[in-house]
Amino acid sequence: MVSRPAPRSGACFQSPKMHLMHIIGIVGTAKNTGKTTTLAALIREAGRRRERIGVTGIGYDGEEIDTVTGLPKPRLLLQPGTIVATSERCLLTTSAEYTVIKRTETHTALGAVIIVEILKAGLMVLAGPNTKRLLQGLIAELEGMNLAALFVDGSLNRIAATAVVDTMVFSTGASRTVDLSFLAEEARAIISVFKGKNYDLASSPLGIALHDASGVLVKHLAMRSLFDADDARSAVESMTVPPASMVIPNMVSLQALEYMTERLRAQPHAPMAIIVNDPTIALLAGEPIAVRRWMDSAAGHGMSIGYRHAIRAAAMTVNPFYPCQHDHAFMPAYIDKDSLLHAVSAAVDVPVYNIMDEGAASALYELLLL
Amino acid sequence: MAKILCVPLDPVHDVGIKIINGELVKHGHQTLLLQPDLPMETIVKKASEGEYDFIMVSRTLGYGVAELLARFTDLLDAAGIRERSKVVIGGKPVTPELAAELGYDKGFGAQSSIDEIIAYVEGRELPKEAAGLTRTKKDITGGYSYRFFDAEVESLLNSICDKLLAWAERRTSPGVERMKLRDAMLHTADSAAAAESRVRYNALCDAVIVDANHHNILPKGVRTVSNEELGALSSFLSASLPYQPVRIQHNEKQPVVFKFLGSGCPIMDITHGKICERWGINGFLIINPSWEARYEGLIEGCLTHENDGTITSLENIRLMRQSLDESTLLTVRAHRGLNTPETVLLAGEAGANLSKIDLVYGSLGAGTDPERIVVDGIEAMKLCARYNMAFDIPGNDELSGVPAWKTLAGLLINVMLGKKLGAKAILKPLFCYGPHIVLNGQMKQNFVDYNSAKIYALRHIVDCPIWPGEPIAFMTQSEERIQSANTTSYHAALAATLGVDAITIASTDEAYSRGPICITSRIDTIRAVTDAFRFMGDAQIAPSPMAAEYTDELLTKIKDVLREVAALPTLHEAIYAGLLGNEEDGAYPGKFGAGTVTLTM
Repeated sequence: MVSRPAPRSGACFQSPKMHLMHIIGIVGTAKNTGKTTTLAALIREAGRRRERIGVTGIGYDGEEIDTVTGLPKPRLLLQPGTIVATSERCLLTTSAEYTVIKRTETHTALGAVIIVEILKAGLMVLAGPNTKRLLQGLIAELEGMNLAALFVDGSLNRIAATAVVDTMVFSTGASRTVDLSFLAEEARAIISVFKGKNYDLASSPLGIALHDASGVLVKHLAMRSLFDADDARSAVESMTVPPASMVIPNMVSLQALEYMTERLRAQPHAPMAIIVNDPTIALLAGEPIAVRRWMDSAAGHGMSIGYRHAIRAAAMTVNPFYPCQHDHAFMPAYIDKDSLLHAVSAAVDVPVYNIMDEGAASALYELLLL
Repeated sequence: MAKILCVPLDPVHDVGIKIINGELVKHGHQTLLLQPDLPMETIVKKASEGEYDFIMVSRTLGYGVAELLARFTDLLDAAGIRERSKVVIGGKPVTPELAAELGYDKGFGAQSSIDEIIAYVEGRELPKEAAGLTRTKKDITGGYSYRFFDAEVESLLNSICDKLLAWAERRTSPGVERMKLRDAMLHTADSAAAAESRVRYNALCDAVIVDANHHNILPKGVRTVSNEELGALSSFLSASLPYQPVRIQHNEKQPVVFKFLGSGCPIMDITHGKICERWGINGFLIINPSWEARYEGLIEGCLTHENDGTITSLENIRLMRQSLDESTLLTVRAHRGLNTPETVLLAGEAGANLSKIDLVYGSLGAGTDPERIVVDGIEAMKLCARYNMAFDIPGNDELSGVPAWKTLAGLLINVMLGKKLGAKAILKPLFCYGPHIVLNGQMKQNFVDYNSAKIYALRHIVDCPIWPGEPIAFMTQSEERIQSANTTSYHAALAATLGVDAITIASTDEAYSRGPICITSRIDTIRAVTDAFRFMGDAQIAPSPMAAEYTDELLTKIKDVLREVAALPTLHEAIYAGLLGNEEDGAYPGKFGAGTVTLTM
């Protein structure tokens, strides 16, 4: 977990109301689901409230034209005082004026990641650290810069690099599918996955660790991930009795999870927690709806999933836009925005916003930072 | 040695990654090539077992595939593999931006070379093409002796040119005098002397030019480029580097490739120019407006207008020269109209590399009185020598219907004249389906023999650079872009096989644009020629035996023409007499500037 220094007061900005730098990830279920629009709205809100923030992205966002569809994309207008971490090639094309604070050792496909402070408002493309370890390093670099929050823009459906944030906003919408019932069910599944129990473990095991009900380590496996059913079988067969918890340092697949529930279903055992690092690992196990179904099924057999680093799924945003393919070109298209908002809102117990609605950006900002 | 996992993350296609895998092995790297269509978790498991330095993924791209590729990097991150392995994506549409968006550490696309991939794996720096063009400026005239191989032709040309130079020695024109005054104005620090030269300059200009330069009454449609536009251009140029620039030529022997610029707007010309540079174009010819050729005098300033042809001014040429890459050759057209010497002066002062002069076509095809154009042209060639600029001689009078042998004879006269005045000429025979050829059937069987024969004939006569034009494939193109690109590429392939030094290519909408040429049409022909050069390499196109017969015919008829011209007192009298193209051919001596040549004191 990132340590949170007390912020210093800024000359031009109000002191952050909280004494921690919020680290907020904006991730999507697919491309074009509204991540950048949400981020742009939150940046505007920060500017309006004269709060000093940082922004970065784990992919490439804020460009004028979509790299895949060729359609226009929302742009990121950054305000003076904002701290930005982006790749050097993105700085070649920015219309903002900035001063370089630090050239980091992190490299992306677009060059070294450079931390700058915006001096004069302008458009900028974000391409920051692309893995969780590198994002963790950037967060450490930004500590002590008196930021109210660091916003981390996701990319496509990518989520792994954002495992180190403390709060997430999920964007979904017609670009994922125009099937409202699927969108609602997937939204429900995503939020459910984040509700796993938090386990405060002292250190990360080198391999998969099995603990008894007293928390005593009873077995240490060489494996760090359970990629498939074969791995799960090896793990199960190494157990003399089902453990109270299984801590998996890296990834686990849905196939492996399903194998374990199937094998342990017939065997009487005490409640067993499968503990992974964070909810992104659970979401990456398989399609969110399938993961949630496994969670429901596993609960019936005394199994649950938990996290060493919990992340708060604070809200969802919805976007009715989708690129519609005609012949060999994409054209912009929309589903009914109100139906989308109602369908997703009814499925989850976190606030859902169409960020383009009046007041939505302000409400989301307050939810995240205040 | 690096350890690399090669992953065809694709249901079927693995050709690209197989080739890369083979090259990596050849370079001594340890690789594991997976089969296509494996489940993603299986691939990640393999990746976790091998402690690889690089995981190289190839995949064709469509909508929805981006999410799949993104999920793959996510799984690698979740599995802790990215702690030690760099993840690389390759595929035709992959760009660095797309690689970044998908979460990969590096992306290789259609323009990437195997050398780049190997260098990346080995941690070596290749010259960064993305940081700018890395080519050097080509000297088209380098290595040529300008020696005439045919003694009779040389003797006839000496006679024609010596008589002309003797006649012209004590003659001048308003164009020559304006050039001298402009030269004085540009190089004097004495403001009174400059003002006096200005007054004398104005006295030699048409009223429309004086109105523009001194009363700010610009011709209809002409305006000054605004500071805002210049600022935007500056921002564009400073922010834009040629992204993955490509080469047109597949080997060093293949000709350099020129395109026209002349949209009427220097800003648009430069924008197009920068894009064409990225696609490998080696040089540009600035085309001036037809109305400019009719006036005595040139308008000054950075000017734009909504008409074909970009206005000739020191500021416009300088802006283009400074904006284009240093390696890009810039030619300023001077053969047309009443300002030939001054145009060459401005081109030289602005740092242009080449000019365009043709005493015959300048009259027959561009409307200037023969007596005037020979006086102006001689002075222009002297300026080319002064600025060390070569000049090309467009044989486009053939497009008026003049037979090839008359046009080629005219080109040779210009070469000899340039040689006598210390300027290097470049022969520019027409390389297309000219009207005389259409009527007389020399290209009925194919387009290869007669175009080849022109080159063979010129090579037989003189050791001089050849730059067929203008543009190649003219009159063989249609309104269809693919057809136009194809025929351009075939002519380019033939030009390459003939070993010429340069070619000029049109865009695919050059004859049908109904307005400014669009950039995509420019790229059409550039790409087509690039592929033609790649296809040909150092192979040859074999003309039929007819090419030799046509060559002999041309040689015979060129000599006949030169004998007739040499029999008259001066070149311009030969032009008036139609010896280099007559009314029957469709060529008429021009009338602009008639009666303006005077004797000097």
